[in-house]
Amino acid sequence: MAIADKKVETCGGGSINSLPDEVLGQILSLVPTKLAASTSVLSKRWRNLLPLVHSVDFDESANGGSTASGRGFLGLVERTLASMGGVPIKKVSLKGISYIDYSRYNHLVGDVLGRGTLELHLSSSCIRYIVPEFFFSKTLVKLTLSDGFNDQREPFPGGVLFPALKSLSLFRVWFDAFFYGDDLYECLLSSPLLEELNICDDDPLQSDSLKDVRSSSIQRISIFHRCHDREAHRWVSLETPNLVYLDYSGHVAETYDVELDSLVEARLDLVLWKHNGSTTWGDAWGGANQLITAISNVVTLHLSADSLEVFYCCSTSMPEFNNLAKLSFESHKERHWQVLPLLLKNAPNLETLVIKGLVHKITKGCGDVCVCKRVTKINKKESCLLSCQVKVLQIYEYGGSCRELKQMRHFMENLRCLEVVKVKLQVDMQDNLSLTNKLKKLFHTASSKGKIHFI
Amino acid sequence: MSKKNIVLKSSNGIIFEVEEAVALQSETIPYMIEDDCANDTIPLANVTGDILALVIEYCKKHVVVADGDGGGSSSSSQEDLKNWDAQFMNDLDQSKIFNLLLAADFLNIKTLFDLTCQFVADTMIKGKSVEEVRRTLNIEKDYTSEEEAKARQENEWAFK
Repeated sequence: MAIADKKVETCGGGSINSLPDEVLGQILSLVPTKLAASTSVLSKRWRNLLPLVHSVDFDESANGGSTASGRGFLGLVERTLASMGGVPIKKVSLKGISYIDYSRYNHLVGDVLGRGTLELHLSSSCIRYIVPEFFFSKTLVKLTLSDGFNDQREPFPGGVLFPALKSLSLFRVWFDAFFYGDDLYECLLSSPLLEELNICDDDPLQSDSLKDVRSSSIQRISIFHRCHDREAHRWVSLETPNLVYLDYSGHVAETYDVELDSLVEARLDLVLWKHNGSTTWGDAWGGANQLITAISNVVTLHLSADSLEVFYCCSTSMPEFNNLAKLSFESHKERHWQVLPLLLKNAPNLETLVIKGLVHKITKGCGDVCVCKRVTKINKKESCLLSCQVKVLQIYEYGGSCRELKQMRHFMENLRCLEVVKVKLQVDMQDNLSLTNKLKKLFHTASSKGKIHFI
Repeated sequence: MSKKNIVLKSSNGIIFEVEEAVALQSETIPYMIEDDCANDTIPLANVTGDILALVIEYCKKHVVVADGDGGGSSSSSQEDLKNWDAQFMNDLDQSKIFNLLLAADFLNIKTLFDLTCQFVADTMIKGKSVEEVRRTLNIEKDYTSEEEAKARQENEWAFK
């Protein structure tokens, strides 16, 4: 326990004074640095805590915006870092610098990186000129750049800037492409230990989104694209032979140039262009063939309701998903399930099926996975569910409507290997006993040995 | 394989028997097992029974998810756990929170330590003025007025 001095003991355990300095430093590392610094007036003990803060977080907007100009803000950061001495700072976050004195900004970034910082988050709403001279570190593990355009006045010399970098996040940033081959984006991606890449381009009007990833070290990628310019979104390229996990969300592209030989888990949210409110393009524009083929070795696959439609509309063939053990998908009342019979048929080793919501758009071609057609019309011998090896069925957001109950019966009667059913009711239904009883009864009629849980 | 249990004893003599996997979320306990005899009770001289009960409640909740079925990859289970954590912290009074933080520090349970620090930062410091922080945390001013003025001056920028 803390080595408590006499004064602390008089306060008794269970007071903030009983915590050791290091713990207080940890707590102050979690609040904006300006506030942490102001706690120095609380008491003599609190006056000496700032150097124990290992994470600094400066947000210009929290300074009341207009009161601190960009220059004033930079000065504030410089003074704080100076008052902390030369101690290493693990994590540095600088947000919203509206006016940048580029030279001071670069020196500041250089100072931070020179302290052996492990994490750096830079965010600003204006153009950033990053000078290669200050932008390198042997220790940096995590880098986030957000909100801004990165301009370069000189090409990066090539080579590795951050040899220890493992995680890179780029949120609404665009890179100047003037220096082909030597741009900052390429330099960052060539970090030899880079394992994780997160890209978020959610500005529908910005067409310069990052659609090209080339790296042999990256294992996990998460990409969110919301560009509304179809011309600018014709192709997506992922040359990532060691990628294990892919989370991709965006409108379906025309072509995918992808190398995903090591992929184990994919989470896809592909959206048809027709759902882009501002356009009236044809239903099925886009070509997902290459992407679907490239992910066909995955063990775990998650699909959004939109992706189900893209798989159906934008692919001319369906590969065999021989390794697929777990498939989860979401339903939406305006998105159909037409691709499911084919997908289930081509996943011979599927063991776990997770469905979030059972209500989907009724179409003629839902096939035999659902009960859109009258059950009597389905030729039971041909139902794709009958040959399905699924042992575990998990249903989320079960609402208990007549249609959902019928759907559950359909699953329970036709999934012959089913051992466990887990159901999570919709939030407002969770106390509804008659709903759970109906399902239990249904399940025990259909299966004698399995178990049903409510989670 | 039968599950091995570990017996923990609080500073006020209350005995808790927990599964090994629950106890081993503490990085301190393995050293205590090595130091003492594995079958003995492990005395935790710094943690009272009521706090140890909370620590164990937390570790039990978190061990289930760590090796639960479904691969633990379901986002909803992560979400459930987050909600559980929030509720767990919300139910505690300030004195229990600080004692829990000390226990998590001593037992070296990183996720519980981080959770508790974050809760203290979010609910007792963030968004408050210095005087509000003083009242919330019940911190006595031991400065003379000159000393206080000096401390204020040192970090003048922080009060603008």
